[in-house]
Amino acid sequence: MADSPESLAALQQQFISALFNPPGTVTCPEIAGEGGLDAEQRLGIYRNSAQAIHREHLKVVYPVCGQLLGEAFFSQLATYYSRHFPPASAFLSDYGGQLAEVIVEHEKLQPWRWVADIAQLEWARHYAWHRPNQPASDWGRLAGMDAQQQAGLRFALPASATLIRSRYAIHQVWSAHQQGSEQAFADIVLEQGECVLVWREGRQVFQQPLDEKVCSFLHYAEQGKTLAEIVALQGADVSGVLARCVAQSWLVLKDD
Amino acid sequence: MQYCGIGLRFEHIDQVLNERPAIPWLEVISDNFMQPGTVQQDYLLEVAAHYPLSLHGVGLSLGSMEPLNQAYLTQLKQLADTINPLRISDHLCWTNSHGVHSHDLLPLPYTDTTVQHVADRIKQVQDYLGRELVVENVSSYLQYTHSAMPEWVFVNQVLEAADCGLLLDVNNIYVSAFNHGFAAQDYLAVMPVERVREVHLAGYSDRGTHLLDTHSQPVSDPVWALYQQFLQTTATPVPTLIEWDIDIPPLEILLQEAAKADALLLATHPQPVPDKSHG
Repeated sequence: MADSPESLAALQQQFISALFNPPGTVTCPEIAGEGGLDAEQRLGIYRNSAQAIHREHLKVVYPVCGQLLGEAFFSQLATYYSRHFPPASAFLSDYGGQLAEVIVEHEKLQPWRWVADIAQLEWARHYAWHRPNQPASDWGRLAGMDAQQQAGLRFALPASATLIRSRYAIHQVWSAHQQGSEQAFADIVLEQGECVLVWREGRQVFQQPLDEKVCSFLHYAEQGKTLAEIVALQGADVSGVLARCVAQSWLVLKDD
Repeated sequence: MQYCGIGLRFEHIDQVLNERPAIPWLEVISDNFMQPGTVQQDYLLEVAAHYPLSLHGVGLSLGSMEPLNQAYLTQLKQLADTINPLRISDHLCWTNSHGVHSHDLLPLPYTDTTVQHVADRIKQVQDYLGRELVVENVSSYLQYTHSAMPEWVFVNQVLEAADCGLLLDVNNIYVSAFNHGFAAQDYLAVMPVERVREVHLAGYSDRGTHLLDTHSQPVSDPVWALYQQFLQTTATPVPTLIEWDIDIPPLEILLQEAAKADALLLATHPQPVPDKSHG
């Protein structure tokens, strides 16, 4: 073949396509067979290697999903995932955020769709760990505001935080699968929905199941509603909820 | 005197920070620490306060036909300007095409076009970073029908054309030699010693039909022998690193491997000169 930038680009396109497709479906004629291995077998070494890198990454990010689905099936799921969502970032840590979608849509996982919410929780933990640090808001500013200014306040979740409202007991299930847990999986009522906040402070990731009032407050805050709008939706007694969210670092001021 | 460093992985960071073992320098995978203002970078800055660091990347994709990733380069430069590393290195390979990233080190065809393309990109990176880039020879499991030169010629031509440093991975030479049936000693003998800024040592896995560069084992005896061959050609010691990335053992095992490399280095160079490239 011609030695040109165009041919090198074409080779790389074929090669990368072959890595993320089943064996034999994309060929690279420029690859030589040698020794006891033909060209497809040699390409297969790279396919297996890339798959192993991504599978191991997903196993680290989704340890509870791995336990729930079993190692063998999770490995198959990782391969399925890489074919549907090939990595789009140079950083491996960005890879894997659509596993919940894949679980929901996977034909064999229809009875296990609830595991998608566990995947969402585990991705939120991974996301929290990798998001940039964020300085705390200056809540002392509120003391100098009049009632009208306070009513117009808008909030946001911290950059590391994800709020998950699930129809399932995701925090309990996750906790039951941690080393040394006293929570028995079999005792959990799966359909007992939970609202869970995941966030990071310093070098530690936290997750907290929330009561409905706090969950709704954070949900409205995340939507960008003003304090007055939240009061209108939740009633005048949100001051205690707001104080708790501020004390726990679950909120930042939107304009910070 | 110690001269051999280790690849620092997350599994050992807390122990290194708490116990501060005597290690002359550490190397990190820069990609894991590049994003500014993250907890990962906080850790790295803490480590950098106690140890000289080398930044070793896997994401520059020097051989890719895609444009260089400017966002990646910007973060790498910011990090380098912050910690002033001993060296910045990446690999003679490609990793991405048409928006898809393999996160694996993929082989290049060894042609005149590839030499020119890779050298041009290395020069661009060096110009942007304002520092020398050190490039590593990779393990390979296949060759291309249109390659016009052996790997050792390709490596030499790229180094000359780009005027950059070489990170000589001795294990990679051994693995590729086994996989492609050439003599590792011959490859090593034509490496330009004056351009070697760092040596990597690691362990491979034997998969029967081929060797796989897994960094999951102690350094093998044949690789130690090749390292000794290389040491005989050097006038002064070259910084050497033990890499271990899979089935990572206790830190003490890595330090034992480093001590073994130090012993070989000191046997060849009884009065090693301290690495003065830091600072």
